[in-house]
Amino acid sequence: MSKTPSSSPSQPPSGGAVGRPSREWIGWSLALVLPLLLYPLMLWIGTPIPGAFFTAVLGAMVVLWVFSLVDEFIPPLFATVAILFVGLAPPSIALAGFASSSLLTLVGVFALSAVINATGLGQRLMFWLLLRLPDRPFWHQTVLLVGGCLMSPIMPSGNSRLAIMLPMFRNMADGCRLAPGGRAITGLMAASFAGSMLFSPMMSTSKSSNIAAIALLPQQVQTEFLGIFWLVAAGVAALGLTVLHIVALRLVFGNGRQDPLPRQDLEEQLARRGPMGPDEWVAAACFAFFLVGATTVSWHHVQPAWLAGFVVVGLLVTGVLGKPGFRGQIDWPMIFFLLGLDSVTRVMKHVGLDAELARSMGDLYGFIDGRFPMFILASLLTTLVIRSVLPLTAGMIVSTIVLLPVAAAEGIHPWLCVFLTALFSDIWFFRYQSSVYLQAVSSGAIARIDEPAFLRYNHLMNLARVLVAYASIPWWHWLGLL
Amino acid sequence: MTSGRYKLALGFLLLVLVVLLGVFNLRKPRILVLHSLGAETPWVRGVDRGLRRVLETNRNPVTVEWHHLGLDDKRPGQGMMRALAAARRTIQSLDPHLVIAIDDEANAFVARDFSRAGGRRILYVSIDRDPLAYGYHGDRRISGIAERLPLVPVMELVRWVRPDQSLRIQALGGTSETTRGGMVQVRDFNWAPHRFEEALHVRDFEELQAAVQRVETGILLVLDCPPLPRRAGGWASAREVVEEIQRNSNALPIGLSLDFVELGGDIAFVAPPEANGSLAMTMALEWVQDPGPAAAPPPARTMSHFDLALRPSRLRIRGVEIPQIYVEAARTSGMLFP
Repeated sequence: MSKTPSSSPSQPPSGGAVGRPSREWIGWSLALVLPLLLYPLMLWIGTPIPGAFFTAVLGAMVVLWVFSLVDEFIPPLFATVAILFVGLAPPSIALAGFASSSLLTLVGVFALSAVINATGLGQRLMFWLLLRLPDRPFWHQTVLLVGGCLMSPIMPSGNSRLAIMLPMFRNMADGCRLAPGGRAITGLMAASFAGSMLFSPMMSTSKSSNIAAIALLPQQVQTEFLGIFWLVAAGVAALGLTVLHIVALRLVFGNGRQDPLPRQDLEEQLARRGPMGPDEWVAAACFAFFLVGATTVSWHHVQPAWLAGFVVVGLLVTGVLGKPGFRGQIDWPMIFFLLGLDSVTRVMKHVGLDAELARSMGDLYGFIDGRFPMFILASLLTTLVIRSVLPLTAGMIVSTIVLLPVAAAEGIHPWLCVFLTALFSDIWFFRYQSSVYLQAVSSGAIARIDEPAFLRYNHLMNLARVLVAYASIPWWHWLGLL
Repeated sequence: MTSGRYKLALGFLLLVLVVLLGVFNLRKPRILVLHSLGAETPWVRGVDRGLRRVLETNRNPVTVEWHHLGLDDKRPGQGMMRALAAARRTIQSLDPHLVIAIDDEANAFVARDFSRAGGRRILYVSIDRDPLAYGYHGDRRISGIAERLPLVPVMELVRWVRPDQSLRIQALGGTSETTRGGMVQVRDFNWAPHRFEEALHVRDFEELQAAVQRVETGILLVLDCPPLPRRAGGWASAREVVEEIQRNSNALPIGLSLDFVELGGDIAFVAPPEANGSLAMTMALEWVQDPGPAAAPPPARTMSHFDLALRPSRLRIRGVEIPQIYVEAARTSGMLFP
């Protein structure tokens, strides 16, 4: 089975005790048998033919994901084609995700992300910050955190952000001669990881699944949250998580001393890059254009998706992103994955299964009884269970699909549901659950640190995510979301 | 020119282009459609169909956004405060040149919070109370479509089914702004030779049951049929409300809301939502073409058309025979139920 490397819609297979050949056998057998069982079963319990067929397709899709039989983006594509093949929904619905504004948003942010990566603009920014801030461990960690956060609005992938962080991490660890396996180097790695992940749920474009999930919300909610208001509503969580990250760093890794940064080396590295080239200027201008544009929607009244469209046009017209780059550097599998899932969700609504799901979920989630703290608990449990078998992006979207009807039935604002799944889907306990961590492992960075201490830090941050969700309740009340 | 300078020049040109487009965009009229109810309500869907039909034929650049207050949503947590907070954010963010406020609740909100702000124009639609009740008077920034409940056709029907009789007219509804406004129209209508006896506003399902029991023979006008809370907890759905009225009313129930027959009622006369929507968008598009403060508003209108929804088989069981033309009218409106 050929699989594309690295990027998140083609994540490594989930772990487990079962070896790969037998897992594949079990998986493919289930993918064949489960739909054949589900279809008559659904008919038998009274589901109409469209609903039964859709459930069978959905069953196959989930099996393909759970057993990682194919790249992550293939199952939604398979489902879409199967739906069109049998005429379960017209193309205007089955392909609606591809005709939505999310397409331009995704292409725009992925193109910008690719260009910032390719031009080295991200690393230049971090070198620059490092040389201007005080030469102390706290500030070194802060540079990595702030750098990651700054890239979050236009880099909707933790993997891409970590790819920029890791060379910085290596430079700083080597330059400061940090002892392998020591607390200082582990703290630095934790800061790199936090820079990649902490702001993922905090903006609509900082996580690819956020862009897809927001398309599941009512139009007026999308309009409201596509700009800066997402960050405003997530403000307490963002601030709380940052503070708790700093506290966790201090608790787990202390405030150790270390050698000063090799400023001369860094300055030489920066000098070797020379002044900013035209490509970097264009990338920086596009970055600023998108960031400022997305935060001032209420002034210019242009949707962020159209701004992202202009970013792509700008990069293409100036040649900063050439035809080969457009073909090769944009994460097309991820875009097909997200838009395919969006389409599948629309078909689910078309065949009336969303209402069915809401009814059946109503019994399971009856304990919420309109109480928002209980909904947070329900979101946490649901997301953790789903994330134990599905990778991050699929896990978050499936959690959102399951929880949105519950939120609607309980009178809970749908954005809160999306935000909570975005926040909790970043929780992980085992290596296989985090493609960003696996990326750090494969880069060799984890071999240089005290892994148990890093995992302790990660568990504290898992807890922090739950705490900030509860701490945000008064803020959401004040904003009128509750 | 070097490749680098060429790229920067192109980038600059693009920036100029974006700025020009941005300026064009800023000057483009922005319209907000503000509904009192949720997007899935039959009435709202009908109004939206009318609005969109006119928009499809419009070729002038205009931004139109929709916001639904969803005040008909009786689930826990769907409070008025939350709905109004979201609407405020939308209005502040979109900063519309014109707000099409549909139904009484949306108009009460707009009139209270936004009518005097920023030279914004307001087009009211489907208000059952006098526009003066919202402070809509003598202002060039305000125009709209008032709704007259189709009480004349109700009278004609009554004259047909109970000729030569003087009947008691009673009216039943919830406690919303719309219902209260409609009740004023019902009370003020000249019902002679019949007589209007009582306006019944119910707050919960038990009050509805008691009110329906109290209704005497004659005509019972049902202004709306919202879900109602039960005293023991939970909610009676709109369908249960209609069933209660249909089952236990001694009077002939005649609905004045769009979903009355769909939910199980026999007959209803309703203001046509699509026609309201079409007229509203036509007026709005004409008005925003002249952005100047001196632009004359389109003259205020009153919607006097009506649609008919019918369940003839059930009417026959009640011993009510109606002319075939009514059946055909309901069929044409797509509101003929078996």
